[in-house]
Amino acid sequence: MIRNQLLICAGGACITSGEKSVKDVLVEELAKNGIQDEVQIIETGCMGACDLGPIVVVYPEGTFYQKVTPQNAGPIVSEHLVKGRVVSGLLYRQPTSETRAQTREEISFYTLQVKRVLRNCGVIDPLSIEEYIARDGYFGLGKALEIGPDAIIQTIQESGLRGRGGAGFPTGIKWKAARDASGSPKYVVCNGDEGDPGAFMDRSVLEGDPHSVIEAMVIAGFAIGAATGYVYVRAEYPLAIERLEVALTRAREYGFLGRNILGSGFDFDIEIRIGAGAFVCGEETALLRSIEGKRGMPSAKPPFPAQAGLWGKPTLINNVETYANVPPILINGAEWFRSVGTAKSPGTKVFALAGKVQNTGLVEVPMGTTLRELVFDIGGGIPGGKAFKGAQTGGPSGGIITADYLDMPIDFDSVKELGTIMGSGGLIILDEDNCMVDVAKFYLAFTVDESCGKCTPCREGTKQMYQIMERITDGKGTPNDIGKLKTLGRVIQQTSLCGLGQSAPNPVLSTIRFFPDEYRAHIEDRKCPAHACLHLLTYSVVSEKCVGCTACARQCPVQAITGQVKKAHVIDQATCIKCGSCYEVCRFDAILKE
Amino acid sequence: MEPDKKVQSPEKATALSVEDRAFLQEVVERDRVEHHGRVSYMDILFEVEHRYGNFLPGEVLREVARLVGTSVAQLNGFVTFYTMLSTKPRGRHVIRVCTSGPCHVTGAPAVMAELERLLGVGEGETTPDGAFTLEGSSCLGICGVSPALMIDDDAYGNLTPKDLPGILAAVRAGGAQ
Amino acid sequence: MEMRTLHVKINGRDYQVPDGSTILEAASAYANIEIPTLCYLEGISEEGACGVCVVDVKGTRNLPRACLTKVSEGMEIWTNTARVREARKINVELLLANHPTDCFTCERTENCDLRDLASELGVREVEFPRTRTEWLPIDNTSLSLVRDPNKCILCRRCVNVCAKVQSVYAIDIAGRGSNSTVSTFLNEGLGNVECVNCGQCLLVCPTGALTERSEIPDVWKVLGDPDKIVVVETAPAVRVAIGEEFGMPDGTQATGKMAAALRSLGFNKVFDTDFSADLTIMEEGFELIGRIKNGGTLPLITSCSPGWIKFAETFFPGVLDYVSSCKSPQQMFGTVTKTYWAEKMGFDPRKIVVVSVMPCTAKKFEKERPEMKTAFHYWQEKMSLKDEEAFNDVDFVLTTREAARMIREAGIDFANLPDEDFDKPLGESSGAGVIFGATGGVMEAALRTAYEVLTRKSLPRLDFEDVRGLEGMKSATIDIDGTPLRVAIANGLGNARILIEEVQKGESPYQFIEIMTCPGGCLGGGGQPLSNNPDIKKRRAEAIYREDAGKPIRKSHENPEIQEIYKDFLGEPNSEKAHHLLHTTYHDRSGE
Repeated sequence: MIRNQLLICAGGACITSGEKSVKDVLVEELAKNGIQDEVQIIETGCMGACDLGPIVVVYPEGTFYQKVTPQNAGPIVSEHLVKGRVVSGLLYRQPTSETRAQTREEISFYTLQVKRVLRNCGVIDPLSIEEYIARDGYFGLGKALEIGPDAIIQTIQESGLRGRGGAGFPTGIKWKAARDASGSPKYVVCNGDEGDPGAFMDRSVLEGDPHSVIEAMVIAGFAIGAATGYVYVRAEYPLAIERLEVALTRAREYGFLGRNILGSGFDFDIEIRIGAGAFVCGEETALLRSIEGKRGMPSAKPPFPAQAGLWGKPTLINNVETYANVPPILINGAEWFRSVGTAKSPGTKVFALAGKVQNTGLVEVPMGTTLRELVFDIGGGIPGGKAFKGAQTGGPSGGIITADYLDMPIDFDSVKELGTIMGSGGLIILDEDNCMVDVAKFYLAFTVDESCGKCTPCREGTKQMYQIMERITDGKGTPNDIGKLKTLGRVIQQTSLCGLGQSAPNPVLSTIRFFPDEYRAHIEDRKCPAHACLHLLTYSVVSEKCVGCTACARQCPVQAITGQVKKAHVIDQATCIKCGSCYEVCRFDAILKE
Repeated sequence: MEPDKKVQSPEKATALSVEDRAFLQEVVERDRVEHHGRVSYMDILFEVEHRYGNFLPGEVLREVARLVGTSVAQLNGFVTFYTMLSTKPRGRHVIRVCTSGPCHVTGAPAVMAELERLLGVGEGETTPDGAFTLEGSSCLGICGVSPALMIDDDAYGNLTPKDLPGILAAVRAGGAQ
Repeated sequence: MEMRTLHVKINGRDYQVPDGSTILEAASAYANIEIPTLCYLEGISEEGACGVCVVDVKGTRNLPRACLTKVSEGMEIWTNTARVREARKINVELLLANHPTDCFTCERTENCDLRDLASELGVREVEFPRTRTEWLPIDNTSLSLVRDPNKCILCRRCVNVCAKVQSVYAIDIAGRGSNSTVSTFLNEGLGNVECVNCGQCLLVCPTGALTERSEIPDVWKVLGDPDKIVVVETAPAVRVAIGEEFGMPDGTQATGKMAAALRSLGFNKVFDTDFSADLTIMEEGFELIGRIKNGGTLPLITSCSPGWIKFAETFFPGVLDYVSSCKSPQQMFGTVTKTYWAEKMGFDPRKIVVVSVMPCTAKKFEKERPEMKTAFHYWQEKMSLKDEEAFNDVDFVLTTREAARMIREAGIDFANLPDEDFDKPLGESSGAGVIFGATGGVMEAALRTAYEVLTRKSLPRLDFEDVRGLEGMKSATIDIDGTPLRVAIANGLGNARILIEEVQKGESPYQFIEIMTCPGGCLGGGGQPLSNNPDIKKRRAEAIYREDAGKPIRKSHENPEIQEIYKDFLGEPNSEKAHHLLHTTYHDRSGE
């Protein structure tokens, strides 16, 4: 008899935090206490709260243990399971009070979320198709086979679902175009080449609930008349590939994939294709070339993939999160889907909270949620009492949402007006220590690295922009650099061949728009207000405060600090490499960083 | 003017053995069957790379091109497009430090700098003992525990420069994690 | 089916243009506006890489590329707005910032598309710092071509020509982003990979990134050496193209001026490859007759095009038995000059320098093939020559462009030279030799001789119109006095590949196949003048057939000098001596 279940988060982040060792300890403890037959251990997909990992949840109570380590895991068995006593030391401490939360329902990180896409992540064992089925899995497919292609597409269209990969293109229109396209065979492709730095919802869905994507792809195949599907996953996600492979095998065994699916006469199967370190392959035309065994270089649209995609055939391509939305829409209907979110962007959106925020991880909220709710209510605010400066959205294709817009409801269209994009949902929170010029330069460096190199504006233009940005952060900027950046940015936006190039200038243009003073400080005053740009930084000793303890001189890796014991020290600016170790080591606030 | 007939690269000079040919043939044919005639270059190349010490020697690539039915120049174009594939010898373990946004703002540059110091090589280089190749990587998708890195197929998160000697030692000793 | 027309506005004026046209085509054909392009090569390279042909289309935020964007009903196109001009200019400036500034000494100084475009768009300064910080090594491995990757603007024309037109796939883009280069496999160099040296890449290169391996310095050197007897031979396709280099109208027959100019350069004898083309026809024609009569391997495939030979050796070693064993006219000429003519004139063959002027870059490779030292072997015993003294049958190859460059350097006013004749005896040729320069020409020339030899009748009509024309593939059935002879012609290796795959499978219905490496045949060769005229090949072909029509003798076997060389030296066509001197062997390069 199973009386308890132990859910262990086996998401990518928890694994890096030691999930496997925790599990080993728990298994051992269960055996030691002779209750291994009474307690089932289930490794689930990502539970979202990555900074709290590894996480163990005890059912039926739902007790939520966080930051479990091999050293402190034992009592979960010996105390909780054997003696019925909650291990309070492992409970989540509420940030605003001294109380501790017993279950997820008491933690604001979870309570403010609406889990639709992540409905099964962290709840079921992703390797178990039975658990997926038990939670209405493959019911959407059953419904789809019953109502037929036209009704499926109509439902999707009525739901107002928009592509979660970045551009927010209406999914139903894509499906219809692929269905109406002449040409055979047709293909269904899942874009799992999640590359936006800071976005990892696709990884979590593939790792935590692979069947939801498989089910949706079968539905899509049935709707558009395709017999083959491809899931394109990055090789950086080995766990996702592994779990997807298992899920595909199970789905075939259960008759959800393969010949004559559920007796409908419809045949469909899915193969995995792997990406190998090329961000641009997230662009759909590039991704299709990559599957074909070519360099992942985008081509101009039109023709759109729905007309001429994989091997020149009509191809439906959606991203992971978009697909994961599909089965519940078919089960619950379009109206249900529209019941949350905004009129033009219905449904939920998964965001990846990262950077300078208390609670990092994946959160799913209704479209139209404000940044304030995301960062402060769910994210728990900025660590160390620092000030929120902005949120970078849309990765290298996006821009900054500043503190002025904390109360703006976020959806596809509202963020566009701010010169950024929602992208796939990466939210990198920046605080006062982050220099906006440096952040923009960083993203530009990313684009320069990841440009496929095909068209002039992206290949040469981003490199030139980068050189200007580097000049500015080196303190060698000139007053007309801003104008040059804007002109170049405009031409790159207007004449690049694909979305990557067209959006590459966004981080720079967005920061110029919202943080003009910061650029001016770099160019005119040769100062970095956030003290992040090394070349603009000086460390000096405040002689009145220096007691001559020699700690800094001993710490300095380049012997730039000289001085006698008990006398004020001096930093030789020519030798200083601005590593900041003196600043860190000084206990008397005697190092001035400016 | 005399043309510079370049010295042939060492890989090219060593012809493939019968076993090599059989292995490559088997890999490509298995993949062809698995993928219903549309071979997956990436699967093939990863498997081949794995066998030949984390890189793709020239003669091996020539044979793969022949087996999959493409030109060597095109296969070269393919391989050099994807950063996880390499035509240059790499170490037994490939360290991929995530250099993407969240990791950048939470300390990836310091992690990279410390690794460079510990290993005595720069980004993209291999240690003289052939143990490690140090590379930068695009987002590893574990931003919740940034900064992060991956060694071979194992990921490490919430890193500080202090963690690195231990991780390297463990990998060197043959045990991951 | 009626072609649908669409109503579009270009710069405010209304036009009706066919559905399916690109903006580029519509603007050019209907509005007389030539939108500038750089990477675009119609039908071959339509990548949209350079970003120069952008236009403003009402209602779109970005600037679409005219080369890729199809017109749609009601489209309003503006080709010259401020933002269009800005974008074009900046994109060109960006390319220039990453391009060497050695225009003074660049081979393409006078006909560089990038330079022309910069000037056209009014680029007066490049605002950007130089992007390239270190120079990439020049690929100097090929006997025919030199690649300077630093001058490459990554337009991809060469890659696409090599792949789509020639089906050779010797080059592709390697690397990514700003590290992209056009590269051979593992950057081994053109000389070490399957490149067939055709030079089509060079013809489409907009800059000086691809040039021929120049032999001009070597030729100047021998011309200045009083101990050498320097003779020059000129290929059929050169005479109808070299005039372009001197501003003469396209399709000018400049045979006489070319002979005069070469003589002025100081060549001791100005001979004609057309002579050895006639000789080739005798050998190849009799080979065909022999194979037909004796049930030999058929189809017989021509062998004059060295790019094709390397292509067959590399990709189709199994068909080498079908290929005629005849050397190309260039190589027959070299051999004959250093044996027959040397003997006749009493010259030491070691003192004779044979320079050929060719429309071809692959000829530079061909002359270096180790088996092309027949004259040396002919003399080795007679003159007790040591192995180290071995000499090539042909010493230097100049492309049409290189010959023109030498003529310009010498200050010769080519266009106003009085016409002169070739020297005898190796300067006499028939019209059959002339038409070698056009696709289908070798076939036609061979048919003129084969027909008369096989039937012992005189041809009622010399022009085989069925085998003429610039189409990539042609086939015809020739009635040889009641016996049908099925022939096929391919120009461009992509087309050749199709015919040869049939041969390889044993399914070829033909008895005789002519293959020319370059589109259009030699007149479109990789050594020919660069031209912006889309009809240039047609003009050159017309000139070739005019030259043929104007010749008093139009069949190879009626060329008196040919009759004389057989009588005095070779004996019969395909005699043992002819075989020894004028035929060659091929080898499998598929493993290289």
